[in-house]
Amino acid sequence: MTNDKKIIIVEDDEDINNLLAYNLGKEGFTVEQVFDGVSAIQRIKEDVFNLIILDIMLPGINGFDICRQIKDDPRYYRSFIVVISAKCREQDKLYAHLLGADCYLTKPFNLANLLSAVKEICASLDKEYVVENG
Amino acid sequence: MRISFKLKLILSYLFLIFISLGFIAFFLDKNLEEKSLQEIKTSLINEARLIESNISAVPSVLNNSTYLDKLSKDLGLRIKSRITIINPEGKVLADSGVSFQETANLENHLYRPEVIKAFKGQIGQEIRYSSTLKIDMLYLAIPIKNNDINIGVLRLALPLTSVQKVLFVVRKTIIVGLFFTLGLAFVLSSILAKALIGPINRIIYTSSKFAQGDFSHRIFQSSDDEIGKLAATLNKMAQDIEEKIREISTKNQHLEAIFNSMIEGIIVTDSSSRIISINHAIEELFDIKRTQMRGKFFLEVIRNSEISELINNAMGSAKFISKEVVLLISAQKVAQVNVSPVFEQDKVIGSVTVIHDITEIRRLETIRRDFVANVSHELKTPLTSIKGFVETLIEGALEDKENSLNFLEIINKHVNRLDTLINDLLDLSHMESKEIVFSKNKFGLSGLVSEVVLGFKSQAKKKGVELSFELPQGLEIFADKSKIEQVLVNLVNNAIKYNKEKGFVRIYSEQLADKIKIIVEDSGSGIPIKDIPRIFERFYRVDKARSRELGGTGLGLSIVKHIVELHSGSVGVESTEGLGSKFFFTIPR
Repeated sequence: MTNDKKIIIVEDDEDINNLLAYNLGKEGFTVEQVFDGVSAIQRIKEDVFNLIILDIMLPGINGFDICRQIKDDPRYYRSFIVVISAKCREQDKLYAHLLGADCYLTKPFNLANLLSAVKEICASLDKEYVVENG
Repeated sequence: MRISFKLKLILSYLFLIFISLGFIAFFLDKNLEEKSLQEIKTSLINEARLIESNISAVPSVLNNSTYLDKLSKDLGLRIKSRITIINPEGKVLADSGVSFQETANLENHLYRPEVIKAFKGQIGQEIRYSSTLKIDMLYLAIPIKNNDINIGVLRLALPLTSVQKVLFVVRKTIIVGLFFTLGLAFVLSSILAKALIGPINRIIYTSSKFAQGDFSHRIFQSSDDEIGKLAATLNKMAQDIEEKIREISTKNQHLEAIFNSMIEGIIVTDSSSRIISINHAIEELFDIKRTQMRGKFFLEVIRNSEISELINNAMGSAKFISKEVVLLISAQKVAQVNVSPVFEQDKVIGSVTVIHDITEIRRLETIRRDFVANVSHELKTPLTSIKGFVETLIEGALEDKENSLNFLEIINKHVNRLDTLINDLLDLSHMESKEIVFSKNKFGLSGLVSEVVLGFKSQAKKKGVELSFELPQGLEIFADKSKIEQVLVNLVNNAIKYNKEKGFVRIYSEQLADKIKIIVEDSGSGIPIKDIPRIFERFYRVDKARSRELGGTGLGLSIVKHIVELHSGSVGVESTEGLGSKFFFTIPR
């Protein structure tokens, strides 16, 4: 059961957002797309997502702020954050990890890597369910 | 009472003259008195001897009192002396000063001192006050001898008034002479004192000028004596001092000039943190006046406890301290504060604080850092799309006929965007490094604008924007035509892109004193006031998403600014949000 996971893509660049949605869709995932920080926060509050694919440099509220929001939300204790950013300095990566990011891919990222990361995360989510259910 | 030196000099001359003349007069007077008395005595003795010899020749006359009386009166009148003849018993036989009848009544003269001496065979002399005549009298008595036997005494008496008369005349002459001499001496000593005092007064006048700090005066003294030497020494001293002062003040001026022309702010304090001096840069930085703060405590003048603490620490530890401090004056400023303690014989006597305003350096650093981050972001974003879509196509999307063409178009769009971005970056980098060489020519502005407008015609039409220009014919500028074209293209492109449907874009010019102002006015959405100061910064976008959507690189206005400034012009914008903007640039004539 890989396609019951709730995935949201937060990316202001329309083309990159669409690229991710297309490829994840092809893999059988249902994804939600948002294009700015404010709507991302709104959607995160309204709903609970298993995986958040997050850009950092967003107009308005940036990716770090969204990370902090997710970290402070107890409903998200089992969720994963994959950061995709052009920021490639080690300190940005470290900062993102401290704020709860599980994976950090620098732009331009390798699409295959991203997809395998997403698949891995979803598989691990399934495993945890199995353990819990068993 | 203050007696001037001149008067002292005159008085001492007069005193000396008076004393010396007084001595001379005194001894002269004494001598004269003695001499004249001696002379009178001698002549009296001679006269007495003469009379005695007359009498002693005929001793019997002593018994003839009538004859004696007559004789004494005759001779007495002739020698102007009183003649008294006394017998050995002391009885007065005859007296020229008394009438014959009264002679018998005269008292006995035997015990008169001069008579006693005469009876002893000597010459008796006596000056005595005569109770008979009420004057000082000189008495002279000699014995009348007959064969060595005293048969009587002859006494001559002369009133001393005549002697005194002579002496009085002499004394009068001496006293008049003395006063005349003193008068003359006063005049001469005045002249002499004046001549002596003159140079001293000149020295006093000039040295009082020296005392007032005016060393430009000199004492004119040609003599070679002590005063001349004193004047020469004073002149030399004044000259030396004047030279030293000039040297010191020149040095001070140099230091002052350096102190004040330094860009770094400098504060000098004493060991108790009282301000000794500050320079011009500090005045500007903290907006204070130098004259108001001398002697005040540091914190009274500059309310920055951090710097104050640094100063105290540097003086306390006697070590150099350097720290970056944020100053909150009118605007936030970052300053590098260096404090050095000042030593005098191993003792800290104060501090020198150098404040270097590094706000601009920090700002430029931030801009550079932001720029690098922006460039990487701007380059990586299209690259991500290109790479992602290429990988998608390779992974099988080529078969997806519905989307594959769309993906290729996206790739194409991003490749073009990258190309534009790289060109813009190269342009900027050339202009910033000032390597760019403009090929400046004189050209008509209206021709260039009409070409640009023509190029945007279809784009404007598509959006329904009315594009017009109004420029005087023959308006020429001296500039790089292709660069000015780039400026106009960027401004007009923005004006159309950010315009509303059925809006307008107008291009016109204003002629200012020494430059031409070209204005591109639009009826677009305008720029929020907070964004206006930053609108010409690289990658600064009011609306990032919209800019990217419209294909902007975020560098257009920055390029405009650089081109115009490299032509010695300036750029600016006036805008009202919701109503439109007026972008303008000036080019010198």
